[in-house]
Amino acid sequence: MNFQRLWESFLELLRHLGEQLAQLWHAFQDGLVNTFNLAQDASIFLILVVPLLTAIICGLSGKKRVMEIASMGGVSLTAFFGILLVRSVLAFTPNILPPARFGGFLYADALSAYLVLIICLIGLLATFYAVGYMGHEHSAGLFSDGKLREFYFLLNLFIFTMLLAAVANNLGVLWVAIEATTLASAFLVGFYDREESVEAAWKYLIIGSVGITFALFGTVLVYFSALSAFKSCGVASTLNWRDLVERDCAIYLDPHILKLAFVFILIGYGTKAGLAPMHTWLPDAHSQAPTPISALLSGVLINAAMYGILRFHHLLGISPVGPDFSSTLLLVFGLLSLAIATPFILVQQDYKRLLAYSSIEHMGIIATGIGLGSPLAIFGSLLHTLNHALAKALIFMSAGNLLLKFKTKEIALVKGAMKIIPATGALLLLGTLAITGVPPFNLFVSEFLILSAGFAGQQFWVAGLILLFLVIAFAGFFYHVSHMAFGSPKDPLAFGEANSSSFFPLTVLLAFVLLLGFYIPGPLHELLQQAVKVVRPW
Amino acid sequence: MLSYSLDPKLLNQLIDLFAAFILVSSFLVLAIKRLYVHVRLYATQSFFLALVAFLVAAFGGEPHIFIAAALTFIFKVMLIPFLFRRIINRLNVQQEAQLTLNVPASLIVAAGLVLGADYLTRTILETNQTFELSRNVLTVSLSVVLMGLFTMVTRKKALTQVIGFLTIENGLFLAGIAITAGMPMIVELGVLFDVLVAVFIMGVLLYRINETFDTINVEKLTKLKG
Repeated sequence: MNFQRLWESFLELLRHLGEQLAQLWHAFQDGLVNTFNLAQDASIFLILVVPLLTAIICGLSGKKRVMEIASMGGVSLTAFFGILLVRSVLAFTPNILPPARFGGFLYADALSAYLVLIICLIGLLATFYAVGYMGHEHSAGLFSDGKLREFYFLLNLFIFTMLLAAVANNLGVLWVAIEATTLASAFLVGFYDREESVEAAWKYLIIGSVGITFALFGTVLVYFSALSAFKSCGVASTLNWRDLVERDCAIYLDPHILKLAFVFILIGYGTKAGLAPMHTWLPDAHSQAPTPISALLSGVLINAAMYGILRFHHLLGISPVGPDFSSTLLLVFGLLSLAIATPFILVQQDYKRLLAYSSIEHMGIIATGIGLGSPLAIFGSLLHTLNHALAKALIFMSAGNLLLKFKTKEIALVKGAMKIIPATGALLLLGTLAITGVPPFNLFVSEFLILSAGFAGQQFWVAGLILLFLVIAFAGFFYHVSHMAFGSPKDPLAFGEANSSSFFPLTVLLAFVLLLGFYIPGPLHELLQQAVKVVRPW
Repeated sequence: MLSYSLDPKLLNQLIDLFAAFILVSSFLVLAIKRLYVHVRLYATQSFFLALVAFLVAAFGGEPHIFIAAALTFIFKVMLIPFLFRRIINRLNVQQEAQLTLNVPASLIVAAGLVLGADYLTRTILETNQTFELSRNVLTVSLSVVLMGLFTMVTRKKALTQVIGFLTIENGLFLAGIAITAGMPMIVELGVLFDVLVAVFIMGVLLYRINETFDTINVEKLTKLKG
């Protein structure tokens, strides 16, 4: 009797406990969901705060271990919020502009979210790579503790400025952010304080800053035109992107001034995007910077500048100027970049410069694709942006391992990489296949899309020229890389990798490069399609 | 209230006069070789720029430009020239700037640039937009931008290149005031901040160039080619 009652009360207790637990669990779940929603809501803000805080922590601490952990943690958190931002942008129904946030200061549509995604992804992998790479060079005594602190501080600041460019609502603030990317990365380019690197940093700073003042002049002209346009519209004037495109005031913008403005914008941001003939700083800066920074400059920074051009391309498209003017200019500058970069790829003697010229070539392809103007071509171009960033990061990081081992950037002095560092050698070869657009790698897909859009749009000359330059670049690349990968090393070097911790980011990159060659995940496809609508709303 | 207490015609004439001084100081940078004078000319130019901004703020009914005018005065007339003098003293820079194009030829090219700027602004004017200020100011600003670029291309000293960069920025600032009565405040502040940081970084890089190359002659920066 007693026993049974005891048993029952025990069961009662259990049930009670269970209910309590379930309630707690629900509350926890609700809390989690709430926190998640809150984080998603604030993600546009958090992606800026986290890298800035990380930079401050690195700048204040200066201890190697702390800075490494803070940077890796910070950039992972930023990437997480970046993905939340993409989610929140995708949650909006297409054809409705997402609201501006934080007093109209920040704004993210599909195009910004896409750029944020690229910055976060490459930023994450480059930071993980940097920990091993810079750690190796630091312990080899190439630079002091103070320099390491400078590196991590500026690295995080650099990521912050690029993210600010992506989510700034005001076109003036966009300019400020892009100029800030130059300022944050100038010392990173000149990091090693050698004659070459100081020279590269000076060129980068001067050409970058002066070039971009043209973009400021263009922005002033757009504002000037917006002043009277908004007067006709009956509202206060602004440089806020959302206000510029939301109301139908763009039709009052003056076509003469806008054309002049776009020329200035294209020269200005084109300088930073590495479009020829304003590209002269790029090979110097990309080859002299520490390898993780090269990957960021090549994979991300030039895309951020291209993003600025795309915004104004959009604005011209919906104004009385129409899309043809800016499309033609982009097409011409794109093809010119291809034509100028390709010969330099053929005759290059320095493998980091080789990769830098390849970046100019790919920016040329992207600009040409946008210039072609059909939705398919723009889709291909935007996809190419991501693909190029991934493949270029992969090959730059493999080249960085090569540099750690051979201690030279001269192609002629590197031989037999497959023999002494087989893993890096193999990655270098795979990266070369990817960057030259061989199937089944991802760049093949995007280049194929751009080319087929060109042929479909009856622009045979353009598509034919792209194809020609691609083939030449392919030949040049393989000539150089096979020289480095095969054969026997001249000096007997010890077998073994110099930077084995780099294989985590390298493997991830290789996986992405292969995956995107076969299949574009649903959300990415959706994001891309919405981004195409941002670039080409007409 | 200060607004409209000045005859608008007189105001425009005053602004035109100061704009002319700005243009002349850009010419003088090309005509004179001494680095100290370049710094002083930059300060003078910035002073007239601040005056123009002040006039627009006080009598043009755009009070937010007061802040821009004040900041221009503090940073460009006082702080940046002060930093430059320090750099010149510390680096023991040789005073004469070396030229790739001699003074008379430079001045002729500069005059051509002013004509080109005038032509460009004419095409803008044909669009029947209402200007906040007279067209002359826009012409001056574009000329100053082009002459700054020209200074950077033809003068070999790294320090003169920085002066050229700052001159370009002054021209843009003038354009902002002349045709739009000032950009939105946040942009104005952001641009000023960027310029300050740029000058700071350029200064540090100047020291590094001096250390690694034993000169700040940019002609010696020729390691990177192809």
